[in-house]
Amino acid sequence: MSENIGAQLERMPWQAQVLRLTAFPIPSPTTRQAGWWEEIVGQTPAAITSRPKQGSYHEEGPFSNGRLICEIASARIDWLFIPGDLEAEDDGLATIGAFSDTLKTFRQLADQWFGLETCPSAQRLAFGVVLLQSVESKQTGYRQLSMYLPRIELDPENSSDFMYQINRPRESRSGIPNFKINRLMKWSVATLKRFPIQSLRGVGLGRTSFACRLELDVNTAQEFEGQIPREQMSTVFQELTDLAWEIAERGDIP
Amino acid sequence: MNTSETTMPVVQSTTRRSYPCTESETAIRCMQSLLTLFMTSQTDLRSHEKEPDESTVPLSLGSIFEGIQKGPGESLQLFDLAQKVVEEHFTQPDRLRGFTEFTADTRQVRLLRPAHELDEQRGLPASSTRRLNVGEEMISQIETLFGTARELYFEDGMENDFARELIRLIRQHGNRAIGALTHLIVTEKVNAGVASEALRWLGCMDDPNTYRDRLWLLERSLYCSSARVRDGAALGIAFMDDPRATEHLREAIKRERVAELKRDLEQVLEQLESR
Repeated sequence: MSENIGAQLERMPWQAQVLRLTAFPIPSPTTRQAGWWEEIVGQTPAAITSRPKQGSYHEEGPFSNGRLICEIASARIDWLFIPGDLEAEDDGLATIGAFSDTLKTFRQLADQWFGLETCPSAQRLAFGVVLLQSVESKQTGYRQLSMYLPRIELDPENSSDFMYQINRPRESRSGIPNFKINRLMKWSVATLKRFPIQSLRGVGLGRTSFACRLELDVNTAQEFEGQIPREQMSTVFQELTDLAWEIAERGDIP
Repeated sequence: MNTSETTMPVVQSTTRRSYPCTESETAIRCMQSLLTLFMTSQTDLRSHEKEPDESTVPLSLGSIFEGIQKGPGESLQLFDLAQKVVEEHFTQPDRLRGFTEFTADTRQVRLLRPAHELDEQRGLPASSTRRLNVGEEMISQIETLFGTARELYFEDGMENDFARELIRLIRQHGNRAIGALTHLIVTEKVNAGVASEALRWLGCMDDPNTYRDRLWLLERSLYCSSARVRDGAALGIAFMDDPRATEHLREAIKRERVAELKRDLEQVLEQLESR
């Protein structure tokens, strides 16, 4: 993380809901590679599900202030950091905490994994995150989004159902030849509603709350046919998270 | 610009626990309908079971609530008792299927998927790495295609209606179609001859977006119990000519008991290693 960004950590208003690291290994992953969860967390996972015939493996358990999932399935390996406590906060947002804090934790986790001898090299890496920022109303949310989306003219009072998605690829700074990074972002305002489910007749909607929602999928481009050198996996992932941070902080910039 | 607002209801149960999720208001209505259906359709559920399972416990409202949790990808997911019922989603009555999605390769079941999110899944950008939910509809479509091809005679290397339709579906639905194929072929739910034919076409078709998943399916299929399927997988891998498959080929050669197929696999390995 650059010093410049590091110094601004405290000012970041986003709360993280889901953090995801995805690797597309070479060769394809096998369930024999299981057991990473315990190696990283230092405890036995709460649940393990293995389906060898389908080539899928799932480990899950409490981690930091949420839950950590390691999933091997099809041609990919996913690490997911999600809320563990099902109780939503007062504002209705279920998150794993401030983006700044959770990102630090997640990067450490990723580095630990990349450092394992059994960690495979990958053709492709991705960092996915869902961020929320509590706002008072939909209109406030649209005004807030406008600050992140300077090219979009929003009319907060007279519009609804806004969702903006764009990919702004960039060349990687890693030095790996022909290596592009997709910066896929999706902006919207989420409406959160509480309702009692005791009665199956009728919807008793309670308080409604709102949040700006930013979903990021920063990933190395599929077109890259080579292999990310193992010693560079951590650097590349750091670049992905730095780019995500930049978008969360500065919005939709080329 | 796409215009769709994300709505995230927080579901509150009788035990006053909250289950947050990012689903639309439609999902709230779906959920109520679904829970009602769960409550009223237990007989239906049991009558649709192909193989009655003694461990299937009739659901109570409480067990459903306990079974619903928030999972990755901001979905509501079912665990434990509720999972037992919906895991075999083919046993669900049709009216339930509309509200559920099954992720074939995880232990989790996506419960509520409002229409706009389904559309989004279909139209997921090529640059996205989000895990796709295959969906009952897709599996059913591929299953039907395989069903109609059972009586066909496949001539080596000749394109046929089955291959044309398979390729069309893959180009149209991308990795969702490959996910459905994976579910049906790897778990050996379809005719081995048709699966074998499908695998060779998976190897020789040109579609960069699904390349990795097609290669993975071919590699996995080397471990299927049917020699015909393994043969199709070997041919598909030979067509792909990708040295990244060598490790799986070596493993498959070690396990292979059919002498002729073992020789074929060795030939494919030799081909990949000479690249």
